[in-house]
Amino acid sequence: MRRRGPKLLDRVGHWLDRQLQIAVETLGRLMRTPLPTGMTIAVIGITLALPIALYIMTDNLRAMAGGWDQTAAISLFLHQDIDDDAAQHVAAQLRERPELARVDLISREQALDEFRTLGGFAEALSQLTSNPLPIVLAIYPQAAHSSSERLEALHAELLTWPEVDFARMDTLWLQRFQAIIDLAQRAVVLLGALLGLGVLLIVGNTIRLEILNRRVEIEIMELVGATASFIRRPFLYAGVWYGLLGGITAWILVNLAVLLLQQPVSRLASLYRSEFPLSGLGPAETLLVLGGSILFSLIGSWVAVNRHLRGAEPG
Amino acid sequence: MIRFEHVFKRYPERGEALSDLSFVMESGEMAFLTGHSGAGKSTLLRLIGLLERPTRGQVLVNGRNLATLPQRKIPYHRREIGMIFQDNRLLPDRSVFDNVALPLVVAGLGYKEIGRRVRAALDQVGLLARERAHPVALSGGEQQRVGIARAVVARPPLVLADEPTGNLDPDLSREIFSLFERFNQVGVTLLIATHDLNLVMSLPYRILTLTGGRLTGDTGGDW
Repeated sequence: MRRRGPKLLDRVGHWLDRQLQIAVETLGRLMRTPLPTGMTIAVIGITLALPIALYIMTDNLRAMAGGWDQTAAISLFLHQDIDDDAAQHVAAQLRERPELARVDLISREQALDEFRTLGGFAEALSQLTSNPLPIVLAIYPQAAHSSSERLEALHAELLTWPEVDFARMDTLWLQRFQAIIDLAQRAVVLLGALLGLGVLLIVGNTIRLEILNRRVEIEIMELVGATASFIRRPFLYAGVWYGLLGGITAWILVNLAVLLLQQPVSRLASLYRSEFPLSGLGPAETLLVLGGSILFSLIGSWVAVNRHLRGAEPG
Repeated sequence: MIRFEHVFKRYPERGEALSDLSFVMESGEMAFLTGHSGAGKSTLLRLIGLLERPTRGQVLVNGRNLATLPQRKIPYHRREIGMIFQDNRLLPDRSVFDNVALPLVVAGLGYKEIGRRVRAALDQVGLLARERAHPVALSGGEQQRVGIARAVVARPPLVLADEPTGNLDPDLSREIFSLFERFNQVGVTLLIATHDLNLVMSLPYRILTLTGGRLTGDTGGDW
């Protein structure tokens, strides 16, 4: 009894040795038939790459939209006859409201300058004798007050002010855009679950065929006293290998696509005078992809093994 | 070692294969099971190895009642029995060594121990030099000897053989039987099904005769 401790450790060590050995043997067996194994792995990889790529796309779009949060929520265009002092007064009134984070006053001169540098209107503007641009107040609400209902209410109220000629809501489209991305991302997650189920079926079917191919061997192993778990184990390990290698394939495919799109995207961004680094799979996401892939194919092989290997059952 | 008590085995398609079979085999005994094909020899052996269960009656092996043996214990029961088949049931894609090693691998023995025991078993059947060969490269007699090595490699107390010489000529058969005698001399219990009556009669062992699923002859060791 005193020797039980080390003995137990010995047994755990022996067990781990066996598991490792079976895992390596199973990998060796898969490698001996490179073509079918490679094809199964490629199918898993492509199946998983599709939802991952779509997810990354929506993630990048979201990051891009996040960069536009600096846009004013409402732009107030004041009447032409309002001068700078009166405009300052209106701005001060607005700044007192607690729901607003910031109010910027853009004078006629500033607006004209901006037009000259940005829009390529320099030629046309130099023809003008007077500045046709109104004073604009750019309004940024507090984050807690930026829901579309509150903005609508604020927008409606400001329109009734006598100094205000016209008010434009700038962020509504942005919110709509974000809602669309949210929807798309949810759809992508659903698609991912569906294709994960596909991986489960692919691996399940592959393992099923493997079991049928090795029927004779399995029978003989049962004759010489193999336990059910001894016979099942290599098939379950095969499932883990398919999942791991398929997941790695998907990872490579997605990151390759990101790499290939990096340049065209930054060219496109530069045309919009902005920078946009396309992001691939981070370490946490990589782990999630590999873990998910292994999980789905392990379940697939588990189902196949349970359906087709019933153990040493006397007739 | 083996005790049959009023054992019946009925197949839905073929009808009664064994009926009211009772006999006892002591530990260390060697016996032949004879009868025409279809007399129930294979069925009897399959019941002992728990490849099948009887329709009625009890089979006891090594003091263990097979009727009450739970499913998960069946592999351990089979590890105590070496089984030899007419078609030898070797794996064609594995070497002789790997084929013989199978019962030990299944039992979870270490590499060194497996190597030692497999070579000892191959030595006993005279095939030590062919351990790297594949079964297809061997003659029928050699293949059967590989099957025998596999059956005894784990040193089971009981060995069952179903027509082990069915495909072999008389000289090779005699060789196989003398191999069995040597195992019996070291205490292994053997039950060998065969229809090679001439050979069986020339040997001093108990003969059980099956006719149409019934035990119709038993020399009971008093030959």
